[in-house]
Amino acid sequence: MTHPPAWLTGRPADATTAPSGLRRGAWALALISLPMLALASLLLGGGDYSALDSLGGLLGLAPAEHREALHTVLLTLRLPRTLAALLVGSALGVAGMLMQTVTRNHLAEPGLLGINAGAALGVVIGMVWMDASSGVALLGWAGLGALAGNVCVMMAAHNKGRISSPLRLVLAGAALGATFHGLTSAILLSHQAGYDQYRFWLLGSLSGIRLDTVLQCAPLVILALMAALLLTRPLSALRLGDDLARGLGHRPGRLRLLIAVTVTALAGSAVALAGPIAFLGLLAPFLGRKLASNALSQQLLTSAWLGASLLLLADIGARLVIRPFETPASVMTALLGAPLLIWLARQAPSQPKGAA
Amino acid sequence: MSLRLLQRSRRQLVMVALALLTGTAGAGNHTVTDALGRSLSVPDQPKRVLALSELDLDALLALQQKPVGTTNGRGQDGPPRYLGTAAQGISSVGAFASPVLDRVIAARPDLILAGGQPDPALLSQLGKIAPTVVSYQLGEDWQTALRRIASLVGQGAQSEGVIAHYQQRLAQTRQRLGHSKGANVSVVRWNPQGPAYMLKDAFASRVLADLGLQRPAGQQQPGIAHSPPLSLEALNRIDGDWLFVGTLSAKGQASDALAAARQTPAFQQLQVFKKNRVVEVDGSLWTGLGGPLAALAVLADVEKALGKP
Repeated sequence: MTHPPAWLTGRPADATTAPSGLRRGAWALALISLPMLALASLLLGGGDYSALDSLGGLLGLAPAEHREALHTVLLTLRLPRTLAALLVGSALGVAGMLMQTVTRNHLAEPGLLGINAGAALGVVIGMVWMDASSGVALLGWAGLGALAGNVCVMMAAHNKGRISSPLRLVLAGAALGATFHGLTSAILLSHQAGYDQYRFWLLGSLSGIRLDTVLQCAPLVILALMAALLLTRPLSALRLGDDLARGLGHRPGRLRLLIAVTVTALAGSAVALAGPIAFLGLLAPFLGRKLASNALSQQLLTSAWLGASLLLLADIGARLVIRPFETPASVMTALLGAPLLIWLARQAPSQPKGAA
Repeated sequence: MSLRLLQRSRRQLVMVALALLTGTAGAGNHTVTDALGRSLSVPDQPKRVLALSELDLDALLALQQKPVGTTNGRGQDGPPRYLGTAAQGISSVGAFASPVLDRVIAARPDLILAGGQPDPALLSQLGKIAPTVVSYQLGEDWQTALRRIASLVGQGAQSEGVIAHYQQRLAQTRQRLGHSKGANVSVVRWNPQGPAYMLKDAFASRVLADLGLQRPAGQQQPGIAHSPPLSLEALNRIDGDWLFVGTLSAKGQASDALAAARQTPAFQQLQVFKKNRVVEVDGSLWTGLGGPLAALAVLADVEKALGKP
């Protein structure tokens, strides 16, 4: 029996199996994708201004009669979306990567495991009953909801100290997500006026996001990303097994708790900003593993980088596909992510590297 | 559990049937064809009419008939707000467009008006409770629906009076438009992530057309509902000589959203905002299916905003 090639399994693409020229090309593409997409996100939109007009506006060369309108579009509409895509994309990419490593399951991600749905439920409860509307208040409610989702799904994952099979965890997550989603719908159906306002956000979209909300959420996302980076060292030890990690001076229980808190903060702030966006936490770490070495810190940075790039791409697509109307960005991520999920689920057994 | 529920509702059904038999003894039935082309036997003089849609309710109230129950208006926790005291005391049998069968049975109707209801399963369930008539198809104007509803409840003659009153108010309002005759009027349901404008054949659009008012060039697409959420970058599509904008609720989150919109730079760049011609209206009235009373309410809104004092 021959082993499938590394690029098929998601296992480390080390120098002996991966053609290094191809890999270097992919690296270069990934590296330039983020700045290019961020620029494209400022230049492209659903309105009447072409990319060239927008470039003129960006460089201060726009004709006087369009200057004011262009500045409004660039500064109050596209800039907040771009910044939000960077934050939300990297948050979801890193949250997915952490969850996949700690559960040893390539399918684990905040969307599929119901954490985003929990955060969305938290936000809806906060908005409908507690009159929460500021960015900070929504962040708090999203965090509480994400925490509830995370606790539930981790309890399902670690029954009696053993790690559940990958598909079992995803099934538990899907059930949890459906439950949260049902509760959210029930609350909104009894508050019809609210439903009309929230339904676009509920699907996951960066449209209409405000700069002040983005800036309110940014510190938490950045803090959580830094915490995640610090956690990669002990997490690498944990990959060797609890006993070995203990031998190296780490405390597995406390470490899992810290990771759960970090994932909660990342997923919660992502949902508070953009609503529940699925599959990004699946896509970014998957591609990240293809590119990065076995070192977790490198995988984490790659996941963050690619998560941000992918969400920028999805959001640009969301503006353009039915312009001048908006599509939820989550529809775009699902178009990319759903086929990958099906493919990954068919690859058995699905074990991250270092787990076996 | 569902079996027990079924048995219980069947028992209730028998009781309802008995009540109906005794209650309507002597009154006759006749056969009508409803908007879906179905033939149904309905009582000549229904006493307990249930109005399942906002247009059914509006039409009955315009005919001075009080239904025994109705569903909530769109985005409302009770009957549509614009009906005010006229709809007071009418019990609700469920949320917007989703009647709860238990409550329908409890209302003991002898005729159910289910205008615009396309679901054959629900229609057949309702039909077991009382004769259920689809009083209009989505897209028909309110006048056609009103005439059909009036003849169903034995008030055929009154419908012409209601329509004549509308025509008279229409002529009055038209007179008072002054400079605004033929103005471009934009109608929008606001959503902070993507506002939607009403399409050309929507209820409010038709009333505006009756007034001889125009719609902006970007809002001419055929259709009875609203557009998909518009990109905030393309907000110029909701510009016009006048902008009637509403959310489904006048209190709470939705109207906060409208207040927030006024603070948004993209909104402030609209010509209509600069000219101070943004009119905040009840979204459930302006973006709903309407009816004779709704049409009068829209005329009143237009007259108040555009009319000369």
